[in-house]
Amino acid sequence: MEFNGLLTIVTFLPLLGSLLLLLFPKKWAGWIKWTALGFTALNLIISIFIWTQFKTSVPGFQLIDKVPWVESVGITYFFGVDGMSMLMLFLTTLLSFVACLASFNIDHRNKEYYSLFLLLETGLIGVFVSLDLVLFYVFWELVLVPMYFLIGIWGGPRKLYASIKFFIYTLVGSLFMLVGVLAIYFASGQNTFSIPQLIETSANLRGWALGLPVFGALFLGFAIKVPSFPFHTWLPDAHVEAPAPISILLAGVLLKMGGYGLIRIGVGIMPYAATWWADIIGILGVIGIVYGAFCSLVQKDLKKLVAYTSVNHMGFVLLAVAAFLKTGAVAALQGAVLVMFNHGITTGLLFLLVGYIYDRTHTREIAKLPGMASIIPIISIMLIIASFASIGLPALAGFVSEFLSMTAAYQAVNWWAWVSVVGMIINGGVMLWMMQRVLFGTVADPHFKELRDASFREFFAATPLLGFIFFIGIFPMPLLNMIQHAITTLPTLPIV
Amino acid sequence: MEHTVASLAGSWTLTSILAVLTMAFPLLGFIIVGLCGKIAKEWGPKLATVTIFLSLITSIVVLGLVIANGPAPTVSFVWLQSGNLTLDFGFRVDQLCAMMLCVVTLVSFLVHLFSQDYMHGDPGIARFYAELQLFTTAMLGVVTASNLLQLFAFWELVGLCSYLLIGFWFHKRSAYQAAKKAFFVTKVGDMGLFTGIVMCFILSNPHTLSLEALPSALASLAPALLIIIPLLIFMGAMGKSAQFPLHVWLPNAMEGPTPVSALIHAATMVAAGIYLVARCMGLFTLDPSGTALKVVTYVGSFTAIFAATIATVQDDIKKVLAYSTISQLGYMVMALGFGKFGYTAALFHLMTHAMFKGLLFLGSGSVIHATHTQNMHEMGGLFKKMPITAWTFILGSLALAGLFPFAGFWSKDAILVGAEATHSTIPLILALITAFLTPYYMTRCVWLTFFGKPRKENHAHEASWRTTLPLIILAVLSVVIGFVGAPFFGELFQRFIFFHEFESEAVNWTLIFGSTGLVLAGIFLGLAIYAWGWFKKETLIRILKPLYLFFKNKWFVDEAWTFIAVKPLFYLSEFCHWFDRTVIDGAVNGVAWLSVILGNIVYWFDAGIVDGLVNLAGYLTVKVSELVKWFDENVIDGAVNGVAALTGFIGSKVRKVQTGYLPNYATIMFASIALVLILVAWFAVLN
Repeated sequence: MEFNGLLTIVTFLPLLGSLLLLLFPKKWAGWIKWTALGFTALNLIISIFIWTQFKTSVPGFQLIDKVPWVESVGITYFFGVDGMSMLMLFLTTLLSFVACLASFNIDHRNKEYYSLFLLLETGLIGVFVSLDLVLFYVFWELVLVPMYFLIGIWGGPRKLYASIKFFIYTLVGSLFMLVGVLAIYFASGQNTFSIPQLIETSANLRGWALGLPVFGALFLGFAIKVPSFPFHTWLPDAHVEAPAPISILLAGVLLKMGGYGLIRIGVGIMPYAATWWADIIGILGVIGIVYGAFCSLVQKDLKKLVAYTSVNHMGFVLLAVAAFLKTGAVAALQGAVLVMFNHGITTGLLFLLVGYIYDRTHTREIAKLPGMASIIPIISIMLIIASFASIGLPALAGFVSEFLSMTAAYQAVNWWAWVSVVGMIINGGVMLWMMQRVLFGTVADPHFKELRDASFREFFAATPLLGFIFFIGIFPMPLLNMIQHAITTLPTLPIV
Repeated sequence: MEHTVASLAGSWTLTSILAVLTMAFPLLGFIIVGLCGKIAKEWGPKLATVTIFLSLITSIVVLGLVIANGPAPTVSFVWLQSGNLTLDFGFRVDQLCAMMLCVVTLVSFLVHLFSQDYMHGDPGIARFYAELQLFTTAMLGVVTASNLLQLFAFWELVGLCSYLLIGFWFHKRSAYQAAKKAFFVTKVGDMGLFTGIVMCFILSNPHTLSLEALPSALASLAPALLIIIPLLIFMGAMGKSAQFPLHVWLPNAMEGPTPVSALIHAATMVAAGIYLVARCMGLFTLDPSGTALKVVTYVGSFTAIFAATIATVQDDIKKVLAYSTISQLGYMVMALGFGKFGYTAALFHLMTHAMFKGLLFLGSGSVIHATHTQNMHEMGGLFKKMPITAWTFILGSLALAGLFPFAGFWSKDAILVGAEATHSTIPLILALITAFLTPYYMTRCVWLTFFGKPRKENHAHEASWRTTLPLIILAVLSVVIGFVGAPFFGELFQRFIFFHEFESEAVNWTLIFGSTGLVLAGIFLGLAIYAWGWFKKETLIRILKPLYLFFKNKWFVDEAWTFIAVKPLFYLSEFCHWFDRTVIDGAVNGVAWLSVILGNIVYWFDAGIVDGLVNLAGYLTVKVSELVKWFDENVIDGAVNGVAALTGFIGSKVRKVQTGYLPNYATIMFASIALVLILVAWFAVLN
């Protein structure tokens, strides 16, 4: 038994906040939101502290909390982080803080809102720090419930359809994943759900008969979350209907669960099966890159446009993971995880800004929006930066990760890179055309002339994301070193 | 948390420190003016001009140092490390870089100065200057970069600035559309370059992107790859340097403020493509078949004549200059394709072109500022009103036309010599035709603008020294700068910048006289039509109608692009969207729908059969129960009741015995005793 405690605190502090908020009387609206913000801020500080405690020079999982739980079947209460989960943990606490700050103008049933919001944060963090498959699964499912209500209650006009679709679709995925998890448990025959132990003995889980169906079931669960083509259609609907702060978490963190799971469990525990699946993963990634870009080009709804660019960007994650499976190159793994992190930051910022514009104009229809640059210049400049980061302009975050994953892809299967370039070009066109239609030109609606630019709170919420966009673009090494550490928790890949 | 300690390769020399300072000044200016925004309206432009002036001085010093000491050792830091892949960030200051530093900072400084008046009173003037500063920084970054990825990073940043500056008046529909078009079209080329860089990185042995080390690291590749990689890099150059068919963005880019056109879309940024190919010349010459270089030559020479024909029929003064720029860039690209025979000539032309094209654009800006129109047919007669502008513009035109002894003559001549030396007949012919067309359209342009009667009322007058000084400086340079590369003056330029080794070509008098004859013929034709009216313009148009329309419509390239690429792209996108909504999401919804149907079937089964059975069982149970009940009630209970009834009957009968009358009891008692006694006696007898 080891118990460091930091991860337990960072995981359950939001839950504590969530329960505490339930005790507040409804009319304390101001207190409720400031308390919620306080909890997310405190959690962000704790995760930064955890970052400082993490040592990239020491291999393996760190800051471990391990207590036997159900010993008869080998379930342990087991938390720990490596470089990859450290980054995801930080991303979660950062975006939760930003999203909480962006939630301040939600005034409908806000006690329930913030309570569910904090519950969601606990679920998300739990997924990234759990090192026991059962615990992982519990958190994975825990995320669904608050998300379902957050979309279903505070969402847009088609919120019921969207939330039910989201819930059922991802539930189907996670049930397949559960089957996979149980199959791993029984096949490994070690009476343990401990991820590190299963990774250590991952060589036992080889053979087609086991690998194909079990990895397939796991992959389905992850692919739906990523979301990978063709399992992505829940995403545009959920994004369009979700309130803006929830979109930030949905795109910024929730999708990362898929990529994270794929690497941690798929690649980690079943490297043999994963290698067989590499071609399929890579091709799905390439299709996602091109297809997502094409789909987003013709969207008329601003949020849907951004949602489809997620399909494009998350395609790069799959592409890089596949390249990693084929070459075992550290750059590929770094590319995959950095794309996840950058997508979280960049798309998080895009959704934040789209939310700001929606709050002011009450429309997401691109055709009604032109001329924003002359009315709300600060928001517009931020949108320009976020869009160019999404295109992958050098000195901004997207460039480094796209370069790494493209190099890795070229090294693995060179036509993957060739086709992906088409997706990158189209994605450039998407963002340029979007900026043209939203920011430039003359204002369509005379009412819009009176719009206020970003308030201090709104600007403050965007600054950390802007900061990271520049920081990663210019100094990528601290993050890349962090990700490189994750190679120490993965098994040696059976490269063919 | 640890960071890799940046390891430093090479040591700092005064030259590289000054080169970095050259970049640092405008960067500082960008940060200050950019952050202050509207507050910097008054002092921002002045501050920006000062920073560029400082850059100009340092870059001249750098040039002097490089001339004196030769190239400075490359200074580099590790920027990114991943496994066995390492990427540097470094500065390489050699002859080519030093020359480019001077060209960029000089034109940039003059444009900064010129814009003080030109942009005066524009509400976005601070933004304008901030973007100019960022552009200059990025452009200097391109020329100092020591590796391809770093070059690419600044290259993209240059593209971003171009985007922002073309769309500077973003409320104008044509402006923001032009900006988008410019960024997107160059992006297409840039993605080729990007892929080329990725390939270089992966295929080089050892993995490197250093411009110095790449040629030898790639030397052992398969021949096919040695053709593909340079051509991918060339795609980037085609986008930025507006080569056919990626030139379509440049004419539209004239929507930006005119000083921007001068700096970015004439003198510096569009030359970045030439610079890139020159920098990577070592990769282009790796290909033993020379295919890559041939493609470069043909693209360039075709672009040169193609754009020149269009320039002859433009009405907008800036459009004439824009097509002329494309044509001249084509010249340079063609020269690059001659390999070591054209390398120096291309860079020489790049430098002279920067001077006279910068001048012409600024001159046109001065005219546009005074007349408030860009249409040459609405100008005329400006010579007297704006003598400085007119004189400088004429000098610039002569330099562009390539008349002896102006700057353009020497650099053009060097290119023609290269064509001759490599026996490239077709490119040479195309180049000579272009050499005839150029003086023609420039004569037309000058005449329509400055001479004849004013065709529209205007109150044109010369602006302040801030406008005219840059014109004068550039005009002087346009006249004299060619001498640095003239064969009669020791070919200083060629001895300074060359590829591998310097080779002096013999003076080719045929070419000199031939091309001068063509220039004079072009000028003569222009004057004959526009000044002396020997041929009526309308008649000419009528006779050459198909050709005229073909040129007027710019060879229908834009239409072709729309038809071949843009439309299909949108159709494909619409299709993908439709496919996504109907097929994929349809499948998802279909699964849901099927589930509902299946649910109904199962429910029917459940309700009808399973539950039916249950109900039947229940019914039967009830029936059985009823039967049992009947049996119970009638048989079992009957028996019970029968017993009970019998007992009751007996009781009722027996009850009558109980009368409560003593003599009766006594009688019964005695009778009973008697009966018992009789029975006892009876049994006794039997035994």
